[in-house]
Amino acid sequence: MQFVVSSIDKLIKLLLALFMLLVIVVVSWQVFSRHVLEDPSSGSGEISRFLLIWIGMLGAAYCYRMKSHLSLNILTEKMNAKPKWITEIFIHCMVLIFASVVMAVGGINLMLMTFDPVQLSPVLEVKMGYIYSVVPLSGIFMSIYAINEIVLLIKTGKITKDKHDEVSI
Amino acid sequence: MEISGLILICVFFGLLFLNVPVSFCIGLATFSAMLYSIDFLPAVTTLAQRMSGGLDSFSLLAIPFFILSGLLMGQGGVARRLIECAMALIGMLPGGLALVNVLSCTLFGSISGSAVAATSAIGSFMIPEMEKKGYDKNFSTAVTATAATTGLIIPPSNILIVYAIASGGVSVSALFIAGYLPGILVSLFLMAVCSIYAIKKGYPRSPRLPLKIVVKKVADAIPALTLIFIIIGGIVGGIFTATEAGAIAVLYSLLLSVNVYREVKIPQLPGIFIKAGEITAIVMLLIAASSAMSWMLSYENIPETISNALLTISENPLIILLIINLILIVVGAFMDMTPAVLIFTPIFLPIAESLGMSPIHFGIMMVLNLSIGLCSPPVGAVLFVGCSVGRTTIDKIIKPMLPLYAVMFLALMLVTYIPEISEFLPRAFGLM
Repeated sequence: MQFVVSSIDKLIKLLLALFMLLVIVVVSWQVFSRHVLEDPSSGSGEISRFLLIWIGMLGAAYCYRMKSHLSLNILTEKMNAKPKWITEIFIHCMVLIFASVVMAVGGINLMLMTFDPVQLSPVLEVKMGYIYSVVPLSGIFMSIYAINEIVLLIKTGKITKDKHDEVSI
Repeated sequence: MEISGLILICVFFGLLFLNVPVSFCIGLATFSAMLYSIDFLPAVTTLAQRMSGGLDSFSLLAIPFFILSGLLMGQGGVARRLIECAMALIGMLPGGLALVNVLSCTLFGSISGSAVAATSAIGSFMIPEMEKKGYDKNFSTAVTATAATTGLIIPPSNILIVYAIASGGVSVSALFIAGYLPGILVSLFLMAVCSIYAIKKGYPRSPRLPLKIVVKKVADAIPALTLIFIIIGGIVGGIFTATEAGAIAVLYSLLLSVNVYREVKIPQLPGIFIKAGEITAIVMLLIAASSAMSWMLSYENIPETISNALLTISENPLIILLIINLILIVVGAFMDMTPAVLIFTPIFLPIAESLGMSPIHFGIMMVLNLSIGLCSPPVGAVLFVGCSVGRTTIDKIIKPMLPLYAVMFLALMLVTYIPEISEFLPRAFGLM
């Protein structure tokens, strides 16, 4: 289990860094080609939008792993250890339901629907199913993370780590 | 309101108070409400489609860019240079150090795009510095926290991009330009409170610096401040869109932080990119889930129901706007800014528009309003960070906060009832 989880961690981090770099290059190229080459690039808008969907969805799984999604802890922080532990398991179960049912099942069905009849992106004519595949992918990653958290909570009987450093915009 | 509307609201608040992350609360609430009226497979497929569709937007792309350039510029050196520049310019006025604190928080908040970053970067230097000169620590912390929020409304501003998406296509460029005057207004109001407070307490003034040093300090900060001018100049001049301005801002801050200020080393970059991706994704999952929910809300006519309820209280637009503001202040006290904007824009914007308010004016009002919540208890990210860098507690800084809240509310009322404060600049530049 730990091996799977840490492999997913590494994969997501690698993809996030790579896609961030790519998206900067693509949009900068768009400005450059329009003003300097005076020959506006046609596909850059589409590529960068698709990259954003991938960054957003993969990053969402990563944020869940890092516990950096925003939440409201005014009620739970006053709880005793036992109810807090139960609530914590409940939270991860809720994430598991959403990730596995909505993102994985719904996402796979969405992919299948856009393969037949085939839906292409307007400029680059990429199959939209490939773009949407990140929704179930992220759902599966999130589900694995959630199961990992639940197993850890039950095995140790207590909450092992607290929220990571504050992230806010 | 139908039963599914009730399910939506109950599930959302139930999960929210159990500490379930907000984006999952939104997603699960929408999912349960959908299951009531639609079959299982179509429901999950529609949700997945709305979620990925909600992210498919070129405007949204500006968010990771401004987050990344904020992270690159958010290193210690930029904060120090901005503080020294502010010190050279206004340090000798009454309450000089407090004014320097406000000005540097505003500038740093705007450049870094993060009120939390501004509070910790400026506060960790300015609060001890003010304490050394005899200022009350709690007052200094209160000033830092409130001033840091002004950077949220002065561009580049991620929250205004989120609003542009939630409102269904208001121009990000117009919103950016519209944010200047209200942001500066709040900043000036906070400075006025600081000066009066400092005169009353008899705090010492800093000596006037020789002109040569002033020029040097300002010149030192110019490369950092140039970022703001590149973005605004490019947008106003029609050279590039807000998103393209973001990419240019990233290139510029890379150049500045790696080559000029030398605060960031190349091997640190992948880590910074991942961090930017992570912060981006927090916002993106919220947007994805909210775009599914706002579809569900309008499917159930919930905005209309709430609007009718409001109209039974009063027909007077002035009163309705006041009620909306009061509701938003309560919301802001409990909820972070991004989810609040995403959830309440589709509900309140149609009402405001029916009263003749422009979506740009409404957006500025909403963000200004929610800024107050960011630095008020029980849940204010900026307040918490402020207290931790100021080494004080929330109950101690509430008293010095009161006059600052008062002027923020005054600014909010001015912005609410005088549309020109938000609309003058975008009109003047032909953006609305």
